[in-house]
Amino acid sequence: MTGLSLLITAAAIGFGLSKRLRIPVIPLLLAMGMSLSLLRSVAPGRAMDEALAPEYLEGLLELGLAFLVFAAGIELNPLRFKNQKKAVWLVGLTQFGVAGAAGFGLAHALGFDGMDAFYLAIAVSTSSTLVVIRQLRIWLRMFEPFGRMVTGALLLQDLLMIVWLVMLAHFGEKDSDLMLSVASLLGLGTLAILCQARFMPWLLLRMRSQGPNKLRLDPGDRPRLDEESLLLVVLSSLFIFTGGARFLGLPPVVGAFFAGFALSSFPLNGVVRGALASLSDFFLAVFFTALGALIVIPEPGLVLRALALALTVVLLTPPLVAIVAELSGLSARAAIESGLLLAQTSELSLVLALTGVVSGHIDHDLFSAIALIAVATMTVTPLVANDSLVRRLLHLHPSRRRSQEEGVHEDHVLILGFGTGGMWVVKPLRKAGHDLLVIDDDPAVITQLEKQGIPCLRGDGADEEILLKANVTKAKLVLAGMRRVKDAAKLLEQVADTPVLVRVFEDRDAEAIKALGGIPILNSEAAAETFAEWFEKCGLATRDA
Amino acid sequence: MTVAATAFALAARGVKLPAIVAYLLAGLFLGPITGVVELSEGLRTISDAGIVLLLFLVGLELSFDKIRDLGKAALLAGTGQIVLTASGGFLIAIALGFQGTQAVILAAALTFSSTVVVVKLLEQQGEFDSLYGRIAVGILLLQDLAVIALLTFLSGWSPDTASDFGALTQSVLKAFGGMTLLLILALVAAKYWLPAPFAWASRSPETLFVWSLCWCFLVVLAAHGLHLSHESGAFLAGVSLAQLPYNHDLRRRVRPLMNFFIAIFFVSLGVNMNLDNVVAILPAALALSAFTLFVKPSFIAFVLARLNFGERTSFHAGNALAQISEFSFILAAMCVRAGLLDDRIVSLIGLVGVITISVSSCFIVYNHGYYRWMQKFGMLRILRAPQTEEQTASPVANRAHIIVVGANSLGRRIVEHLVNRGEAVLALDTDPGKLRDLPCRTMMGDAQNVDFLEEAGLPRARLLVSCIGIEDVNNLLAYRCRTLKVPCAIHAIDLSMVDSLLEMDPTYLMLPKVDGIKLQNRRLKEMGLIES
Repeated sequence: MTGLSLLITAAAIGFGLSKRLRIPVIPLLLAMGMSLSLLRSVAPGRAMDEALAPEYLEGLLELGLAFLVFAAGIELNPLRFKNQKKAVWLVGLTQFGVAGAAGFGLAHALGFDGMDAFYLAIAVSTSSTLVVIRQLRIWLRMFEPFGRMVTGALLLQDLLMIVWLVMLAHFGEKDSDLMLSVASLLGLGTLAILCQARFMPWLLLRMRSQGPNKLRLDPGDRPRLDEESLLLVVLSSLFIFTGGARFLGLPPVVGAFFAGFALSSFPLNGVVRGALASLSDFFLAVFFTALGALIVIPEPGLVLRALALALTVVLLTPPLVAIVAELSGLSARAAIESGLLLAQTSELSLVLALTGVVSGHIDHDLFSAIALIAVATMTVTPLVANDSLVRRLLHLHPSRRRSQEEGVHEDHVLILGFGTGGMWVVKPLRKAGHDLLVIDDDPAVITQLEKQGIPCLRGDGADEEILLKANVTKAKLVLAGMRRVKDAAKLLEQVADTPVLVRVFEDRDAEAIKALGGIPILNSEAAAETFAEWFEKCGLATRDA
Repeated sequence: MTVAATAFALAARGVKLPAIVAYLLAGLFLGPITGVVELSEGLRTISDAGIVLLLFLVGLELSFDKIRDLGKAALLAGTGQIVLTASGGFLIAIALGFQGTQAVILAAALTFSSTVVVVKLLEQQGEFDSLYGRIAVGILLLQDLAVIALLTFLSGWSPDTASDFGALTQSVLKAFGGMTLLLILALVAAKYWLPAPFAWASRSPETLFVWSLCWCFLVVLAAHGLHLSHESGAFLAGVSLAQLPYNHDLRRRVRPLMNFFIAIFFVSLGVNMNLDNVVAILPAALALSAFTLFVKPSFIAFVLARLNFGERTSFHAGNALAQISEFSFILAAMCVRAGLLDDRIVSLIGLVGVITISVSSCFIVYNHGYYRWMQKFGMLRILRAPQTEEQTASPVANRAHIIVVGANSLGRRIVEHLVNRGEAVLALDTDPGKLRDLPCRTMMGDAQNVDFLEEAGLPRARLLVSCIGIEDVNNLLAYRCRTLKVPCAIHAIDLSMVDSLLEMDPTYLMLPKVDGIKLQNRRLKEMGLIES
């Protein structure tokens, strides 16, 4: 109990610091875990050694990792990225191939031998589903096109990683054994697909809806599958798949991943996510803190070489992913955001390294080096994947150096961000005979506008140069529908006398826009009014109210 | 173990037995019957964590308001019940041939009823807020306090001190001293230390959750340092957090974690059970079970009748408490550690637990029929309870109301409009800061959690309005409303999400982006820039 108490306390400090310093929690949990390890070495004692014994921490890591991979698998519903298939395949495979090849080359150049270099190459070739999904959830951008694309690429990479895991676990064994493992993997995967499509939704949703939709039971009513039973069924599916994987000679984490995938269809994934929320928070805290506590800093030379590989991941992945994503049809901004978000190694690289140690392919020092790369890149990702860096990188985008054909606009109406409802803005303005100019960073939107003969510029509405190009100061009116209030604030800094209407959702954003001289249009106010009108007519209102 | 627990729990669900019985049976199946599972150190840690979280959760129920609410009735009925049941249990244990200490422990084990079983079944029956339900819960909370005192007493007991009265007294006094110190610490923390930092953390649900776990385990460590049981520390940690306004949300968050760990605990208990002498202990187990199932509820009903409660209320309250508690198992485990019991008595208590929890669950589920049957045969005359008109159950507040999920700018506007219109509105959000100034009833919690939605009365709601900006939560709420046939208005964050939402067949879709453009066009018209 002391060990668990220490880990939870360290995690609580990590969460507190994360909230206070506005830094993502995962690196802080790792740092707190490493502090525990440091504390043990500074103040050694039997109680401390027992509480944080490596076997105990490894047990927690195994359970925590299985659970977190399971929870991440639940988010990987293939239907989410059905419209981004091309981008998913291109980004997922290119990153896996190119980053892997670069990693292998660099590892060789840094003096790692064949097998070590191979493990390092696979470790740096994929990104972390855990870190990325968590970040997308925090940003509430899971369902934006780039969020869907990134999720799809992660699913693909996880599947590739699982294939590697199985192949390496049986490397050097007879061909027939290897073939048997691959067949087992395919069998378990097929079972997961069948469960995802048919069995699990039937089992859990049918059981949940069999009973009455009320709290009080009448005679003859069957009780519903309550939260406790649901949780147990969900956890059982995890343990059945991990047990099945063990039985088939596959790493348990493979079973955990497939178990999560089996529960990823909607609305089952939502039901399960609700049931697992506290367990996910608990295991997130315990896993990363225990991982931090387990890391033994290797000799300085190896640390430097590991950091060089980590640096490669952070520097290579963003441009690589951004180029491929943009070529696949994503906007420049979304492509850059995707690249920055994927710039870390996967949690599965740790499992891979552990498998390597168990199989005798690599030693503990290389495991520590791979863990160090994971820690360093996971720590850096949330820090680099932010708006200001995205904006800076947009400045380096080649499209900015190309001359863009645009007329010299004056006394025009400038529309920043076309979005899905842009035509409702454009139509009445065109009808009234205004000279229009639309700025949007989505190439598909630009193509559509060009087809309709609407003057447009591709770029970011918050980009000073684009605004200059659009002659913003000479516009008679600016209509902004930007997602970030910061972008609108930048725009307002550049215009003085032009009326700028900015559509926002939150009252505090409206106040900020007003304070900067803009005219806020509150989407929430408008929607509440429409709701009120509907409510009066829908027949649900209290009659005498 | 989890798979076996689930299989047994699902099977038990079919025959309306509570999950605890299923876990014990799963443990019996895995351990004494098939010998498939042996307990490892890791499983023991999980099992210990389960007990800690259970006690923490029980502590979280005990806000001072609730303690005041229990009032005189629960105090008198609870004390009377404890005295009568303990005395009766002791006598029957002696009559069955058990020695002094064993008889005392058996009597204690029979005295307490299961908070987990009773609360769970009352909630399932929708009778948690009935008069008898509130009395039963009041008595259970009083029993919880008595259990803590007993656990403290046992902390001071060890095989070394048992034979030396002076050393035993010193040890027990030390344990009670430690307990008093910890209690003072918990109360001071509840009043002065915890409110400010937890208010700060409350705007981040996961920080609040991890901090509450941290507080729980810190107090457990402090209890360990003072040579008290982990359970006492966890209970006091729960009590101190129960005084904060976030206790409901914390309970909902801790419960799933506890459910997972406690399942392992109960299965482990079954695994550890010794069935070698089941035939030998069966007569004693049946006698003690009969006492618990029929005599113990009669004591409770009798005391309540003396306090002028009606026959129906007295009967139902007694009937609800006709089982032994999960604490009886913990008590038995501690007594074995203290060298006071042997495995045979532990098995006996386990068997009595399985029998009484199983049978009393059926009594609770079919309580109205059971009452009519008892009344028909005149078996309730012995209570001599007043035949007054029964007090009706307290009104269920959440009925035909409108639930607004998400107190963002859209949610707040809709709440204000509905309240001004005279509607009964309940607003939900994970952030207490956003709920603070709303002119309606509010609940803090996660709308993805079914328990939370049921507590908010979704099945009886007239309308659910989801204003939050998270697509999958909106989809899930639309799905739940469709399943429950509750009308719903859902926020479509973007036009690209409309199609997937329409599949859930919502009553109304809110499209702030479209409405915003319409508002913008109205402004442009006012500015003379467009025509219509």
